[in-house]
Amino acid sequence: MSVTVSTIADPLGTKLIIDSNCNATPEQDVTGTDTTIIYAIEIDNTANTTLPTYVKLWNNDNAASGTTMPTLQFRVAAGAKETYVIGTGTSDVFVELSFWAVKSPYALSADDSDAAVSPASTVPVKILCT
Amino acid sequence: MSLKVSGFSGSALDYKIVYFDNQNTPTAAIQENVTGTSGRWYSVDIDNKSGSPVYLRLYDGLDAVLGTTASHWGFMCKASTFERIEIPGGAPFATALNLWTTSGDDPKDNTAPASSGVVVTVVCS
Repeated sequence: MSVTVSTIADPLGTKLIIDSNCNATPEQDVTGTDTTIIYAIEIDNTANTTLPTYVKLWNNDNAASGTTMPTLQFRVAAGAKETYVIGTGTSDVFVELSFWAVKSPYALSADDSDAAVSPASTVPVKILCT
Repeated sequence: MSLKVSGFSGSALDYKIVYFDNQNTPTAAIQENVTGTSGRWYSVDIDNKSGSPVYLRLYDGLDAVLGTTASHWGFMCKASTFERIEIPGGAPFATALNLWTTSGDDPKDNTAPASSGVVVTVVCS
């Protein structure tokens, strides 16, 4: 048996964003570029064993949980870690990628007070993007 | 608008394909409990035929109300583009899978996609 390790000259994603404690406070414009395309997102909700978590991405900065309507929204089941793969890359090119995690699928606190409430335990999130 | 659910099963596989053709007079109407049971979804294809962004909305539960119920998953697909989202391990829907498409970004939006509409394909168990 032999193992060969090669460096990829032209990788699909050139950036790996790791937020080890994603919560209701949005991370704003994390790539600092206006040409971000997302290829995969891993959300680890294993620390929250009784409730799902909703991770929301927005194509702009100045995101505010409880107010901002997300561009993409992912529910991750209680006690689970899920990886979403977007092989084509997101059709939407993010000019400013911002994201946050809350307890509610609703965008507005007026619809659900949990729309701006962090999960009981923070949620590690990894995003592979350009 | 039409909804087709095809099942194929055998000793090794037990998957369903949900094909939602929302091109002709696009609607925001919720396609309820499309597989008739709980399960996991493994991929979604969004083929946006319209000249405006479309949001695919998925909801796990019963009795979702258009304009009131917020989707659990929401994926924006730009005008005249195709997007595929896959989950190798599948994402569970513990009660029932519902889907609908809208043109607005609010998770509880009830605005139908623009003319020419959208085709959605979901692979699930």
